[in-house]
Amino acid sequence: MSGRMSLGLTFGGYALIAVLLAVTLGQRAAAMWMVVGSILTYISVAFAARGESASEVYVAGRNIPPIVNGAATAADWMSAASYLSMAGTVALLGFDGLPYIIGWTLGYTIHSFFIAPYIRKSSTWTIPDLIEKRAGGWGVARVIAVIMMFIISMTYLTAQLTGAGVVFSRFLGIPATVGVFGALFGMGIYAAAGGWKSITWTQAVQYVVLIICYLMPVFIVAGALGLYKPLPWFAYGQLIQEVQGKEAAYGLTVWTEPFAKALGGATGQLNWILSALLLMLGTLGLPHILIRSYTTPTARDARASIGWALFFIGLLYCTAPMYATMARYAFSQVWGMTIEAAQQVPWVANFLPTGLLRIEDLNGDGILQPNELTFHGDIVVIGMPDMWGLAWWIAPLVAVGGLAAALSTADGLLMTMATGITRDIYQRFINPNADEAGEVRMTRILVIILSLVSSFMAYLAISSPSFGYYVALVVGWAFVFAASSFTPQVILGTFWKRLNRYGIVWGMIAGMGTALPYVIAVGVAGVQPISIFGQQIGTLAWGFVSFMVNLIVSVVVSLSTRPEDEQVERFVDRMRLPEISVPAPVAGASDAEANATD
Amino acid sequence: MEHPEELLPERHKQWFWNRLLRLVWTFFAIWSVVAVWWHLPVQRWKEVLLFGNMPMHWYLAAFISVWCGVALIIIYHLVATRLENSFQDYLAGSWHELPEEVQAALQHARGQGD
Repeated sequence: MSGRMSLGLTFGGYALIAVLLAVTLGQRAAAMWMVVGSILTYISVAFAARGESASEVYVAGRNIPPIVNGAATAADWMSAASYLSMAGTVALLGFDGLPYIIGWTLGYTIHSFFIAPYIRKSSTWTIPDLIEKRAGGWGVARVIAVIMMFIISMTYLTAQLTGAGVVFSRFLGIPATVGVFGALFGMGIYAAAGGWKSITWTQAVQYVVLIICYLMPVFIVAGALGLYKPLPWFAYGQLIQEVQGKEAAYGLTVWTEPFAKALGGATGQLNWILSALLLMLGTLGLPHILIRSYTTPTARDARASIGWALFFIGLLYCTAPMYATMARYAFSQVWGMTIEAAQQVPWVANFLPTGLLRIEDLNGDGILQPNELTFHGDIVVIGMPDMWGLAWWIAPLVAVGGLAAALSTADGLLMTMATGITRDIYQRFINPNADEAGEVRMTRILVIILSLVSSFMAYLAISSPSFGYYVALVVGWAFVFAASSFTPQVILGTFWKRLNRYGIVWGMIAGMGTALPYVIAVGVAGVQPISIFGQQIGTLAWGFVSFMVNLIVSVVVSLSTRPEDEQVERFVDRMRLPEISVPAPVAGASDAEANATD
Repeated sequence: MEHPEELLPERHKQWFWNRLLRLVWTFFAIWSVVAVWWHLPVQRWKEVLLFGNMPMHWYLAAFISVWCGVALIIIYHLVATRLENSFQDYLAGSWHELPEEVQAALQHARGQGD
């Protein structure tokens, strides 16, 4: 039976069970199956595509077609933050939330210019492996890179599991603190199944699931609002005008007014631009995205796969502002009602007990003013089916999509960290003669251990009363750390031969040393942000500063110390030049390939 | 040999790399317009309505930039692929200057491609 047919049968069976449950046991049982059954479906896909050799576990055998790799990259990329929180952030911040849209997309464009094909041509296995080879085989560089990778990935993973916990909580009626362990059940099992090979194919399936689940509600609502002129993306401006007309009537600053709200703790055009740039630069340095360039057959395919990835990502990111607009339009429909009448609007009544929506008659006039209706960003996507009275099965579908987004990213992060320990620490420093089977077994055990640790961290994050930040902001910090540590090294590593081991290591330390204290001080402790040219610099925008610090330190230290030898120069040449030989097959040939790259 | 391109004479390496650098920086300059420069006159754009109702400052960031980014990757990929093919032609044109390992690899690749 072909893989496509068994995939069809798996999803067909999943849908059939949902229908049978809806008919026999009711909507709630069917909704629960849709959420839990989706995880079982991913597990079956992961086992069907599991990898056995080290090459399949670490780099998916380097034979993933560009379109599949693009879809997997998109799923790897689009996390709970993209799916659940981004539209909410735009709904809350208006124009000041749009750096998330351009920042989390346009980084891919420069990724294809500056990074993807060169990483693939390096023939290394992990980013710390690449860093070490570029540093002339200096093990210290690899260790520092692994530490940076853990700081970035653990921050990001905690946010993903928090998002997954929220999804479980909303749709299964369980506490979010328990929900994070439900996410652990799914991702731990199928990440351990077969490394990057099974994760890649599962992520490609998850992309299809999440994009359908994301687009379906908004397309149905667009039809109800008459926005097919010819497509909703071109016509939702009429909703913006209606919302802003009402806001103006209440004497409010209109929603799309630039630089009216704080982003990353600060406002202003400089903060807006630097935040967007930081998110782009962070995109270039995220280890679980960088590693995607290893899994295609050739460098040319790696470049093409980035194009596919951005195409797939763009579909969701261009739709998020439409979600935000529709949500604000729905909110604006209850402004001016009596408080009592507003509380009886069905979707308002549904969400008031959840705390995602609040109504408070601040001036005591009994009429709902805009500032008396406040909302949590997550309601924008989760609440869309209720706000517009869509069929009952749309709401669990939205949850299924949210879970797919959170789990697919969490898997990528888990595998990145697990290989960081097995390949970059254990196999490199502790037991260089480890056999392939032992290495693969160790990776699987580590995935389970790291799943437990990260779930516990997410549990703490949700439990903390001070955890008031949105998932998107926490994820944003991971970008700050990525841009401050890996991005300059990966770009300079190819484009500037004079970069040497000391520049690489001190650049990473200086970048992270600049980023981490500021994020903790401003983002966590609430210290006032500093100003540059009279404009405040928030935590995200500060990442651009720490990126520049890394860049400058890397250059200055490299120029002040001895250059690398001829072997490193040849390694750089290899990354720069197109492949002129037919790539060797690598499945099951890990050691041969690893030795050949030395 | 796994990576015969490492053995190419410096002149050949520079031929490709200089052209690629020009290409990369040209596309980077275009990208900077999409990513940064055209978002700067935000106060002017917010008065302009696209499709009769969409504030342009909003639409540039929420839609147009993203798809320009996709288009840039596609065009870059096509041009870079063409440059890589030209490089193969360039190598074939200076066959006698190439080391034996490179010649063997090129012949092998050609054999695989036929």
